[in-house]
Amino acid sequence: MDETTYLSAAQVAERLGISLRTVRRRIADGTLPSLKVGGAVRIPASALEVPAAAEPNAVREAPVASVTARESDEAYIRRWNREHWPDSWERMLERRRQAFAVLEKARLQTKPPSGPHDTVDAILNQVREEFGQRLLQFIPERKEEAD
Amino acid sequence: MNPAVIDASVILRWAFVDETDRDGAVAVAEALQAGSLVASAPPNFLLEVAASLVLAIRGDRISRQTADVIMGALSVIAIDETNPDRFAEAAMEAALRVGVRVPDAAYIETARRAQCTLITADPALLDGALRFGISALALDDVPARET
Repeated sequence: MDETTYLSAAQVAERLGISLRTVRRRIADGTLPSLKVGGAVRIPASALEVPAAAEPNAVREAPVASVTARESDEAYIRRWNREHWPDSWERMLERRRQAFAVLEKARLQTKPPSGPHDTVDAILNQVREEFGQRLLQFIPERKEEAD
Repeated sequence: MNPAVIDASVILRWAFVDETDRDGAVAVAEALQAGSLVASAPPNFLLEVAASLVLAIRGDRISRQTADVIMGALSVIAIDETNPDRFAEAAMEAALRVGVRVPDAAYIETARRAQCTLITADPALLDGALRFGISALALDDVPARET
């Protein structure tokens, strides 16, 4: 008999080697099928094992060693665009043209750089230096490989 | 439509007067408005722009009001954001591999995922991308749009 097994979010996280938070996010955005049993959310184990090529938001990769519930980059971009862009490509382009017109007016309100220290390149370099340095504080030092 | 990753050095040239290599930035803007270019960027790109605007406000290149207008317009332009899944780890790996800053590595990782060209005015980022094996184009090499 083909009996369906259901897993908790924590079990899925453990099986896939991803965080519980990621599993919950996948459930919320629909990339991981789930159902509610009473007050609990359960994921069919089959969702982790069967690639569903026809469904763009479904788990795409086959199981075995590469099993993952990670949304593909393409699926993510499609979803991001659906959520952030207007309902048609033409309207999006029109809004974009308006935004660039606004941007151009704003640009004319800015002042020229007073020297090499406040060009956009210098400003951005400063931002990246600071941002990069702060991020490095969270990155463990890489051990040199033995010769 | 041509996909490309654009970095904050391109975006900031849309917003400030008297900057170098503006022709390339304008060509990118025109392609975006025409729909002939699909641009993407890492999740940190608007933060980089915001941080740059803060420095520009402090340096008196721009007013707070103008900065608000610029941020609003940029959000409407709707540049694709990279899938943030496991993005930090991948950016960290790129940073360590080619010795660039983490913010630079974020763009490199975005271009790697999207398998497209990175356009930047930042020489360090350009150099890092090329060493990483990513297709990259300096902003001043972007051909101006034919009129």
